Amino acid sequence: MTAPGTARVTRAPDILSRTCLTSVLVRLRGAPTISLTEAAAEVWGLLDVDRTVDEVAEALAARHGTTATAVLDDLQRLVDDLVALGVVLPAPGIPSASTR
Amino acid sequence: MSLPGGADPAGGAVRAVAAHGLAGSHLALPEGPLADDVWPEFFRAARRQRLIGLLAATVADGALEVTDAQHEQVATAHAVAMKRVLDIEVLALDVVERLEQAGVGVRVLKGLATAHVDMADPARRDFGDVDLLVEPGRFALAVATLTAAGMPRDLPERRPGFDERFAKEATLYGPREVEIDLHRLLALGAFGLRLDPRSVWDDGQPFVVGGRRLCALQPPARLLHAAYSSLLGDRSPRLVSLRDTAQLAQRDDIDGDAVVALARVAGGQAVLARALRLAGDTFGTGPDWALWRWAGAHRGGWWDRTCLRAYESQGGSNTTTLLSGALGLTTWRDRAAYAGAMAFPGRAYVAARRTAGRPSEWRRALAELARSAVRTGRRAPR
Repeated sequence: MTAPGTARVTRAPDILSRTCLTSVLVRLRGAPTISLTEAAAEVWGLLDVDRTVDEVAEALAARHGTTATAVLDDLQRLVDDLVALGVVLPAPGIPSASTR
Repeated sequence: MSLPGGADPAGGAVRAVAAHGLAGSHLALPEGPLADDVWPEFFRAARRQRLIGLLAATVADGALEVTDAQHEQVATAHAVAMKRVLDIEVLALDVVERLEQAGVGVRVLKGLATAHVDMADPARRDFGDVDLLVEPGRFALAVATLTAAGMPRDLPERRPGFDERFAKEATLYGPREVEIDLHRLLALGAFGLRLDPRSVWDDGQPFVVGGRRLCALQPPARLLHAAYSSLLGDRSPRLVSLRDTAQLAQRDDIDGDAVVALARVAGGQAVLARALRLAGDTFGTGPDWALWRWAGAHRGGWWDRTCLRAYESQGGSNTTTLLSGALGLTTWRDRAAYAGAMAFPGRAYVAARRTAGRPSEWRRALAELARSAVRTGRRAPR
């Protein structure tokens, strides 16, 4: 499943997680623990509230002194992977800021 | 009494880790990375004391400087510990759901509750098993529900009817040998049996794990239990339990009068006072607590002193702890039944112990009592 850049995504509500020194561990019941490191851990941190992929890209770009366009493709792939794993979900019923 | 953690530099550093984030603690972490000849013992002690979560927090906060190799060691150990913790939480959710479906209410105790309810970040609190207090009067049903679900009990009931009358807990095993401690009482021995579990069973304090509502005890009962765990739960007081005690004692919303009143009803004022004094002395934080003056002034009576001495951390042994249970009971009938069950457990229990390769209780008891007698003789005035 692809979450388009304007779709809002958020952490699954039934996720279990721990923030470790160099990684974030996330786990759903009935599934193995996933270790998110580096950029993936950073993206996870930004999804503590629901955001669009575009908004996450802008936040990452601001942190790392680059442009949202430069990070968007990699970010989109990562978010799609997280959605496929079920640890990130499309946020229901809230239109994204960029489509309002 | 020497301070928990040890008197050497590694012990001092471990105590400072255990105090990390406690308001008012004067314990300072070492300046600069620990030397290579101190680090291994420090790291082992931090793991032994279940302080990997707090150790990782000191590193993440920049409070403890570490070398690259030390950083990697802490990061790896923390990730391993937290992966285990997530396994335990998944199991806890499964166990709680099964018990609630069977009509058994539970309260989450110790590490899992402390991590989510009392710590700023749950990753600061490591724990190794599921600890649940079972609703009074439902213990046998709770054990039966879980064993029927394929979670075996380590040993059968000591004697028929023992569990509901005298048992502190039953240990069962979930997947991957994760231990599930179903508690009926909050401690072994006299102080455990003196406390009526109905006195701590109330609406509880809700919290959420994995999107599901769980319930811990209310803060006064959590503090009393942390004090019991600190002083009565291990061979020597563990820093993680003392940290839990200190953490709860300095909560803004802790009602000191309610804590003392609960301890009075439970017959555990001496344990609470001594654990608070030890936690305060260990972390240098006591005077900031509302309960500090009470703890400093409290003097237990003969019963308290006698019972406390029975526990391993206070100079007793496992055998004297168990024997002290008779002092926690109020009728001679109960005392006789308890003593009978201690001395003459059922055949299934004895056979299961033998099969599990555990030593004979009689032999162990006699050896421990002999050692106690020798120690008492050495201490006796000439």
